[in-house]
Amino acid sequence: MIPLKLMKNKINFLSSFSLIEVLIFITILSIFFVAAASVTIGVLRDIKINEHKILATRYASELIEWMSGEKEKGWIEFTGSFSNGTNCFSGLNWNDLTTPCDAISSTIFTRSADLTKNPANDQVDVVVEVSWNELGKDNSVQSTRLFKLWE
Amino acid sequence: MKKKAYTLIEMVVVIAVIGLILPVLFNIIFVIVNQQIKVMRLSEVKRQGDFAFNTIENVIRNYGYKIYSDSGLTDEKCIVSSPSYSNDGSNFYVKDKFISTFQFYTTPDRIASLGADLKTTYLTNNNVDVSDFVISCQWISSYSAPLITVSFKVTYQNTSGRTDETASMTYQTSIRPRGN
Repeated sequence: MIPLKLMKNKINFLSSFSLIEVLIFITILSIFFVAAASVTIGVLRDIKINEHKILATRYASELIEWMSGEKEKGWIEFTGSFSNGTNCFSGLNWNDLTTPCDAISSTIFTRSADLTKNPANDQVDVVVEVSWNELGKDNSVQSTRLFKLWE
Repeated sequence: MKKKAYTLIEMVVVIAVIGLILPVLFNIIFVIVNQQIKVMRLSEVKRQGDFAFNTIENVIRNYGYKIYSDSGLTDEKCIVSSPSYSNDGSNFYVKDKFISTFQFYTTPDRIASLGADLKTTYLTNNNVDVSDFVISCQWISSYSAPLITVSFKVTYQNTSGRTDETASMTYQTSIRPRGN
């Protein structure tokens, strides 16, 4: 026959978790949540960077296509529209090429082009760079094109 | 035997923990899939737009010669007497240096090309919509081909109407045909 007091203690002991069990459970749960959160943040950041890279590539191509059109309108007008060096193209026009660059309208991207006329003035080397800041880190996409008078 | 079964409070605790973890997991999966779909839409728009744009640019540059507003090639445009002409593509016929003609137009959400063999080829698929398609030409001089400008907008088909699910890109350039 077990005394009543001892029996109550035994029942209490069996029906509750010990401190170490609770701690282990909370630790495992915390590790899971922290791991899930960090993986999610990493994946979302990579997806966002990819999205911005696609857009940045498009903005770089857009400028090169526009310049190609300007070149087709007339070589002399085209080469006379800019001077060698880095020029800003927040819009598709020759009006405001001064640095530092403003962002392209309603976007986070800044677009600049390094334009170099060769001495004979029959070639223009264009290096377009679209850059943006992503969570404190600078990213950029480059695109190059060589325009020639006789092509 | 009785002690081996779970008590009500244990079951409640387990269900509560599962109820806490599952929504978090589903939420994470939902957000990631949603963002991936957004990137997929954007890349599809770019892929379709780039292909259509490069095709139009290369064909006009390599084969274009003269512009007409009719398939019978009687009304030539972008010459001294008619220096500029703009159209949605339906009446914009480009003749190559032989007698063949080709045409780019929209039908109404896809860009199509019609070649000399009268076969219609679609340059974009049904996943994207093409709008604001304008093709124009301008006479520059009697010694060179007219300057042809093409512009259009490609948008991912958005059935839900939500603006954050829309992806669109604009294309524009000017081309000087080399066909002559």
